[in-house]
Amino acid sequence: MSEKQTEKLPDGRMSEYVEKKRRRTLLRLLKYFGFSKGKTALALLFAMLVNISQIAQPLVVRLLIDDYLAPANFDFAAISVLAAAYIAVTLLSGVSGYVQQVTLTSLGQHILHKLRTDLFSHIQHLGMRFFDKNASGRILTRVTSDIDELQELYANIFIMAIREGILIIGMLITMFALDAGLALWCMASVPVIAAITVLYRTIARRTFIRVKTLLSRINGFLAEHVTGMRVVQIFNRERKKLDVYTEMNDEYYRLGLMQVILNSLSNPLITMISNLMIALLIGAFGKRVGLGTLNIGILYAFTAYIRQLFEPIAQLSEQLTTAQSALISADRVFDILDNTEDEEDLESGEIRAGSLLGRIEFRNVWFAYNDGEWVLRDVSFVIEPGEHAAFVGATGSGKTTVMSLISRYYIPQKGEILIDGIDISRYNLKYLRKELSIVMQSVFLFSGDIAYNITLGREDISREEMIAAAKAANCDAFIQALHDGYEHQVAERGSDFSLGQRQLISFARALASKPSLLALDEATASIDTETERTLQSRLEDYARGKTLVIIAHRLSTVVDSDVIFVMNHGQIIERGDHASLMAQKDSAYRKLYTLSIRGSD
Amino acid sequence: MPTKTHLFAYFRRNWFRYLIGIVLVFASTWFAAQVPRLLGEAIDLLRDGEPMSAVRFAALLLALAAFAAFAFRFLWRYLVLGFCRGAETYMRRVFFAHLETLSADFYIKYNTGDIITRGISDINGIRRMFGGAGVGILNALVTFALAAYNMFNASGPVMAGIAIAPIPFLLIFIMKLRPHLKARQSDIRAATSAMASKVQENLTGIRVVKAFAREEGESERFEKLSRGKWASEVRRVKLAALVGPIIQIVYGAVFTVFIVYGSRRMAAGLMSLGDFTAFNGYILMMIGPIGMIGGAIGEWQTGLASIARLDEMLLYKPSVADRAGLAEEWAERKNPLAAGVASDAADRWISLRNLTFSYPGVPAETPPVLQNISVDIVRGETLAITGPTGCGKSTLLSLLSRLWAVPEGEIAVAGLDVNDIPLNALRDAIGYVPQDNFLFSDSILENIRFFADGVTDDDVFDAARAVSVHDNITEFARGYETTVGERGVTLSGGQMQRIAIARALVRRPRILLLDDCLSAVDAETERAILSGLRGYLDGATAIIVTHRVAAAALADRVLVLNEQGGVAELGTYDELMAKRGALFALAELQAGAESEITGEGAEQ
Repeated sequence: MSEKQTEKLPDGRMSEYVEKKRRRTLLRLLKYFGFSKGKTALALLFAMLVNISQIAQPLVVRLLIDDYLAPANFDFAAISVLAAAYIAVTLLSGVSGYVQQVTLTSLGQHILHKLRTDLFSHIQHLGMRFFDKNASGRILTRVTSDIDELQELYANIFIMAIREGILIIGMLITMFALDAGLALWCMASVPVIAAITVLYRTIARRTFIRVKTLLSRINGFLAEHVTGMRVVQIFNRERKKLDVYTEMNDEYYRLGLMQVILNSLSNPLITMISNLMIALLIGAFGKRVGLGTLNIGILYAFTAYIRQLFEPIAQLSEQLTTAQSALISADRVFDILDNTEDEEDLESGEIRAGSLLGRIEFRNVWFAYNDGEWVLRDVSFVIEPGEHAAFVGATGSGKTTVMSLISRYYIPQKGEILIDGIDISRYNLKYLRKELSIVMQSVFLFSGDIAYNITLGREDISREEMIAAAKAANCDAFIQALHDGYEHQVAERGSDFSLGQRQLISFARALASKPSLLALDEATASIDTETERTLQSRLEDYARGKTLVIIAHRLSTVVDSDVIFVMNHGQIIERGDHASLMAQKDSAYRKLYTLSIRGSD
Repeated sequence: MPTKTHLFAYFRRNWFRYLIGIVLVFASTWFAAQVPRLLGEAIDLLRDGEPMSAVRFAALLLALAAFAAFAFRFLWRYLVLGFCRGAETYMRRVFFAHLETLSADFYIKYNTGDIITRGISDINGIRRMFGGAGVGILNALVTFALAAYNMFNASGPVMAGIAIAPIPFLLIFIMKLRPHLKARQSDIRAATSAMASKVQENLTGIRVVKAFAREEGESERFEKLSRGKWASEVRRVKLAALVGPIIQIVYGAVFTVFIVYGSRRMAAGLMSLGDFTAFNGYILMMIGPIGMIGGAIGEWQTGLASIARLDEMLLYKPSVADRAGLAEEWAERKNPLAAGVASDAADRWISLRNLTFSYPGVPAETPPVLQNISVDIVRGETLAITGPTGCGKSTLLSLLSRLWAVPEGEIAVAGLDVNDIPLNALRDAIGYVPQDNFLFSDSILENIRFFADGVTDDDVFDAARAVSVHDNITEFARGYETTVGERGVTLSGGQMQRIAIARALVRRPRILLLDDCLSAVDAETERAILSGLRGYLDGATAIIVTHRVAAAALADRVLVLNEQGGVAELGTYDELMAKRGALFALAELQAGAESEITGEGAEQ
């Protein structure tokens, strides 16, 4: 949404808009520190202690030099006290540095955990439309890589920015307190250092991006040619391909050298500049020592501060670039969190008690996934309580959509859907879906054991009930045959079971929730005929007196239904039971049926 | 050749860079060690009230030493790391060149991901081993030595000893920590991937989640995993964050000792104030490399493992290669495969003699894929090969261009055993279109031209016209410049197959091998294309594998293979149909179910 908005804005206002948005995102990210106020305070406290001890260390040495060593006043007791002070400060710095880093990581991870789980649970509550619009790969990236990008922000950048910022200010204050003239002189160098690091970063970033792109090209080339090596060999093109590869490789070498140069410059350059500053400091202010207006100890302390000052400045400017990419990720995450348009409220709807009778009525229902492309056109039907109904028709005729509407995955654009004579939207969604079980075309097993896959973690299903459901679904036998039975851990996507077995487990899952309305969406497609028959008879028993809706390709499975709806291009073109539909000479059903009988022989 | 030999070859040509680099490591460290000393000297001069000119001179020397240390450090890194980058580039080229010599058996044994990992990450590991690790360790040792030497001069043996003493312990500590850190690091990776799988699983099964109103349950499961990641990150940092503060505290203690000890030495007149201030500078010099050396040793170990992994592939012998001395022999001979060269073997241009073949590495009791095939193919003839799935049709074609080692004396081309023809001469003469038409990520034009010498754009268009794909291509927005392959547009199966044929045709091969490469077009189009080809072939010999009898009817002769990989029958289409044998049976079958076969797609 926001991306589209920015496109419409003229250039001048756009940068302003982006700037504003960035600031908003940043503020919002900072607000998350509120989730763990204690840890935030602790991390800040220890960061302050690190700063204080870092500033104090040169001060101790300065005292030692000015009061004892320079004037050759060797009071060993006093010197020992200073030595003790030095080790105390060092210990403080080391220990609080450690505590600070651990607290900070824990804090950052806590916030990320919060963001991650919020995001995940929000995604759970988004309607099917959201999943239609967004490829699952993209959503996955939001929950994983984009959150990881934020990790840098929380675990490093935010606190470090504060800590280093305070350190710089604290050192500058100390320096001014020690000697304003020297301090002013040192401050003049700060913008120079900052400018150099920013410039360096910009160049380095550009090179690193080029290196990365080239490397992925080389990777791609290698992958492609490993796969297509046969073609290269058949056409005797080894030499030419090697030339192409060498060219890329050499380009990578040149860029790599550039990278080496940049890497070799950064830290040594900062060290050299600080040393040059120290040399200049001595050259420029040395004479004040002779005049007695400057103590050697203070001069020494300044040399220490100069070394310490440049480090955080370089670090801060370096993190600026990392922060920028993290903000982009943050925007993406927030875009999903802010998506309320597609949200389904599981708690909405006031009707939530009792079991359903199972009367389903569609009144002139029109539905389209995308505007204008009608998938259902003016569909009306009634399924009476306890009736077994079947929908048949070609692929794309709208059968599955009918099912999706009954479970309220989508709201129809026109018309009404009534369950037990009451509009579907008045039911509490959670309750509605609990009362209505669908066995779907595409079977899905979760990681976890078989028991979990049947109960899906609902505590109101006892073990006996679970096993009863498994028996009814005809899968108890093969589950018992496993050495760990119902505790058998399902491999990824259930690949250790045949498609048919997976289908039976998902049957058991549907039965275990004791629905008042059962729907099968081509659920028996991958079960062999033998098992299908057994299952069918058990199902009939189970569903006696309950409303049952079946979608099937194999027409043999719908013959016994009370009512059959034949769908074509989003419309119901015929309805009636098997006998009456077969009796009509030109009925589409009759054609479909004769075709399918021939096909299965 | 093993990795070591290649690296040595590279080293022989570039050793001076590495050597100069190593010398400069000493130089830069020496200058770096002068900085604290000169600072101390300047402080002494100031304290003793020496004239400012002397102080300024010391400051100037300090600046020069700092600059020299920087310049030499930069130079050695540039030379050494540049050398290592060069070695990496060199090895990558060696590796790819080696891959090009390896035959099908290698590519069956190793999967693509495995090969790429070695070609990229392991070669990368070798670079790090000689750069960051090798010289990094040297640099650390030199730094320790020079800093200790300066400490020794300024503050005596005791302090130098105390400053050096913690190093081995710290290194042992860091090395001991490494495996634990690694373990915790892999915990994090496991936690991260568990979380990603959960999200993936959830998104795939979102309909089920919704159908059973399990949103909260799923969130709880995810929450647990996310908590696991949080915990493992904290567990790692608890270890990782130890190193810095411990080094800091140990050297803080060393300096504390020095304050007490140093002041006594100063009182005794053994040490100056400058020496005192310099000491802290030396400590700062030493601290950096201690932290780095642990990582460097780890990289060295990783590098050794990388070399071993790379060796596994570099030592893999190509199963198809020219025998020694063949190239020289061939150079003296008149190429019998060249266009327009008369041959006394024209009536047995391609000659199979009792060809029997099993894939290498399959158990001995498995029956061979091809059994006792003897056929003579006349120059300029078009032979169709057909037969049931799995009868060895594709294997036969791949043997003609020697993708697998061919037994001596069983296949001859132009009167010569294929093993007596250099691979490049043989393959140059053959235009082979395999079943799986692989196109590269490049324009259609370059895919068809495929580096063929002297092929103009018009030649490419002609070849595309010959297989009726020219019009399709020109309909694309970017025409022949359209990028195809993994990173390009998606072409239909039929378009890809025809572009792959055009790629073979454009080189005007003497022998054309088509391996069922029109399966994605309907039978009518296949016939049209095949009859169109004859005009284009211009006297070349063609072997066309097809499973459609109708297509085989266009050939001069038809070879039908049986399920055991032997010859079922051979003759002209009319002869075989009159015989009412295997071909006839196949034709009957297909006539009944033409539509089914068209939809079947590529045969496996």
